[in-house]
Amino acid sequence: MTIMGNSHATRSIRRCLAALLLLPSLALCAEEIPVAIHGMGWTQVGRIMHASDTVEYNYNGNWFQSASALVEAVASISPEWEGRLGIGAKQVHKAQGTPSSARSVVVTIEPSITQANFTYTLGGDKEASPFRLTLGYFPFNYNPDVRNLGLYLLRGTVYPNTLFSGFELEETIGFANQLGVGLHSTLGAFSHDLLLSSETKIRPLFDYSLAYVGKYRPSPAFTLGAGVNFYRLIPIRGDLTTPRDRSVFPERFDSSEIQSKYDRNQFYVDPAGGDTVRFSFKGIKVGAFASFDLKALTGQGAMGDEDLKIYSEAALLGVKNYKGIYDDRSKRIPVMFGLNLPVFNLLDHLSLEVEWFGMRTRNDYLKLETEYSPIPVGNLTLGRKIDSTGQIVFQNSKRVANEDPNNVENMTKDDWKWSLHGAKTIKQHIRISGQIANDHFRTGGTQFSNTYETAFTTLKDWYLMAKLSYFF
Amino acid sequence: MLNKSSIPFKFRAAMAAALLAISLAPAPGHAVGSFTNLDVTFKGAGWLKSGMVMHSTDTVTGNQNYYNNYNKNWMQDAGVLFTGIINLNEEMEAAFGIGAIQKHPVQGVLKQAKDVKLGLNIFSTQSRISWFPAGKVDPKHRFDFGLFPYKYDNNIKNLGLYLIRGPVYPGILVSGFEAKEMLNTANMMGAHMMNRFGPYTQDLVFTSEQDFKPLFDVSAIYVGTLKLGNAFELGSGVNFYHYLPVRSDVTSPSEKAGFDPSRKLEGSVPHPFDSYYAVNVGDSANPVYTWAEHKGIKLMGRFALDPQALLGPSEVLGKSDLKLYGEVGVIGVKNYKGIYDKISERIPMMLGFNIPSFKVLDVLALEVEYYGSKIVPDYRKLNEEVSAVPQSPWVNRAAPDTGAIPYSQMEYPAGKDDIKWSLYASKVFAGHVKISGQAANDHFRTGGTPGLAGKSYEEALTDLKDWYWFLKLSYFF
Repeated sequence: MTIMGNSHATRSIRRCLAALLLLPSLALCAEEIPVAIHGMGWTQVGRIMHASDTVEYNYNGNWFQSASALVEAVASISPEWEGRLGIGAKQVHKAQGTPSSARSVVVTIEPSITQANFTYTLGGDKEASPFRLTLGYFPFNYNPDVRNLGLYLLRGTVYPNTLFSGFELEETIGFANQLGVGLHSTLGAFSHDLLLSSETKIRPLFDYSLAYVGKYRPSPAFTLGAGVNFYRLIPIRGDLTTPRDRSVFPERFDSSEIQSKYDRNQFYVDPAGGDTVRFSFKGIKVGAFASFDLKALTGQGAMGDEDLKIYSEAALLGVKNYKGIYDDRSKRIPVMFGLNLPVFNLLDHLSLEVEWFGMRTRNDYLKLETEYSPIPVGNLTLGRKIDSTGQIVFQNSKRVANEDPNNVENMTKDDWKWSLHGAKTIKQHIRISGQIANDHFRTGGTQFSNTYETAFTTLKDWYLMAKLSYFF
Repeated sequence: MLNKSSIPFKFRAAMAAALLAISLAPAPGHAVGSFTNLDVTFKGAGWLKSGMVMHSTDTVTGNQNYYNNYNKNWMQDAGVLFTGIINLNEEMEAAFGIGAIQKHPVQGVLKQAKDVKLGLNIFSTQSRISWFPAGKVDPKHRFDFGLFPYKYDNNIKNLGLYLIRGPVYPGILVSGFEAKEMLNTANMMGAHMMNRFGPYTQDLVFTSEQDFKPLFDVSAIYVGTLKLGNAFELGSGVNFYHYLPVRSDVTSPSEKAGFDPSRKLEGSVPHPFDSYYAVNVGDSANPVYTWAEHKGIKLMGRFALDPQALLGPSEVLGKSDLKLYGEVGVIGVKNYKGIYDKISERIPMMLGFNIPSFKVLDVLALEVEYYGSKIVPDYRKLNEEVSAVPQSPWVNRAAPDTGAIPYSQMEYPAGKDDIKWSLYASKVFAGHVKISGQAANDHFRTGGTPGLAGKSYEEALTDLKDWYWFLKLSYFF
């Protein structure tokens, strides 16, 4: 606790202020800057082994393949200042779907900016510095134990509740995922991260969210953390973030097609009281996470550094209830647990993760992207209709039983998710990794259309991915 | 086999350098670590930029019910670039690089804003080989080949550089916040020769057109600069724009080449500039056509005065403070009857002054421009129809079916944009971090909005009331 005493904190603040004030007068040499060039290349293959919901897209047996390369430069400008920038390109393709769409699949190149940031580290010691400021496009992951499921505070939307996960997404492999400003402070056993970041993936674009994550690490074996994300706190266009203009955002009032509250786009009418409830994409996420290294009890033995770690995370996606659509907070709380199975250095890690999320609607942000609707996707959005007997779901000419997941408004079979991820680094420059999972993997759709849904909707579903990468 | 001694050393060196540069692309299995065996200096930059159009008078350019209203539009992009400079020997170097900008169209009105998507523009920063016959330090002679940066006035922060930016017919100007000419990013593709003879420096550039149609035509540019002491600099130049056409029938359209002189697109009010390729200066019964060509001659004169060089060094003033500079151009020496009748309407002029900021900023540059052109500063017609005739003020107007006055009846406000201004500031911290910003009413083009209004080529600011701002945080090494 001495470390957290006023004198140390005050000294740190003084140093920070002094550094900022001195900034203009720093006269660092601009000529001979060490620039380290790093690169990475990889090929990835995988297959969806089972996908239950085949009414619109049939991903069963779909093969996935990609190849990528990136190059990054790290400029050590001074002990305090470091700049990073990188460019990458990925050769990808849409999911194959059925034979009719599979024959149209084309391979495309997706370029990307992998990093573009610079960092000021007070005192220049990256490990021991009490203060670090990062600006630009940078990676941030508050829970590095997570290999796949979790990271709820910084991934996904609030209204509607969407979760994101998949095989080696950018958050879990150190790629840039935040555009804005990040402040990191370490004071003894406590660390703090404050982020102001701009939305660049999900509409409405560019809104700024303010997030805070605090961690307490009393020993190397134990970490406890908590955070809050004021998602879209600063909207760039308030009329997009809180859509109200009926001439722009179509609403369905008395359409005969409407079968449920999820079939509307922008509002909910209480059938009892007649209240009209409207929504916003803004929301507050709160979350907590913890990890414990069981080797602190068993001893290291022949185990690897990552073996026997257990970790967990839970979050509330949206503190505010909205009558009719978001009534029950317990349905907005995803929880995950992870365990690094002992692999005795045969692998770097082998992580088993399990998640429960009791949301009753589909994990799909199609309505958000296409209709600016904060209401979850309903049957009508997907072109599905339940017949008058309530027994059959129609989609186009297809007739399927009215059961989970064909009726996307009362889904429970996707509440459980799991993932097994393993990786091994060879000769410090080659990495082999793989995953089998039933997670929130989104294929992105087939050659004919974009989709925003997860591919897996029941516990029977799963896929596998393998990746061979080299880096320097 | 050629006898080694029969080939001049310089030629052999150039060939070796070119082969070496080509071989830098790592082949499969080629260790990237081989870079360490070369004398390569990496330069890089990354940035985050945000801004807003604060006022834009003309809100009805566009297509059908979709129009470009830029008022209060937020703009944001992030970018990176790398350039590797290879020191081949004492006289030669090569440079190559790549950059990427993550950007989006401006938002327009609400129904367009909801469709905004992020895109990524990839570009080559440089791809050149350079020869310094008398050495690289303070070079007296320099030759560049490939894709390279060139500008003749380093004082300019926004407005100006008329000789090397924009087409001749129509005489459209180009400027904006930290355009590529200001960032040492390649803007010329071809060859460049620089020679310094005492106080006189000459630049000769042959460059292939990359921005405006007809593409690939080669222009020949000559710029002479005379330095009178450290205080005064005079310059002038000429650009034989598109004088070496790749396809002369496209650059100089004619009936013989298959162009129909009567082809036109009429707006809600007929206008001579509805024509695509030729304007009828006779009557309808006896048409006499003036054919507009894409090639033309630009002239330029400029000066720069550094009072600090006359007054002596100052402890309180920054290095750039008090500099005064100006430029005047002629965008097309030749008149075309019925289209480009007055050369006085083709003479832009600008004046810049670095306001003293007493080392608080590196530069605080106020620039003002006058350009009496009465044509619509929109190159849609040039790039989509390869037309050298200006655009009619009555086309590219949206036509919503509501409102007291249909937008198609609202003429483009050409002529109210004669005066432009720009206030640019920048400061470099710690040698590698730069904060820069600009408030301006210049020739900024947004590129258009999402949806049917689509890509646009017009200026966003058409009235003296109009302006925008940008702020940029960048680092470089």
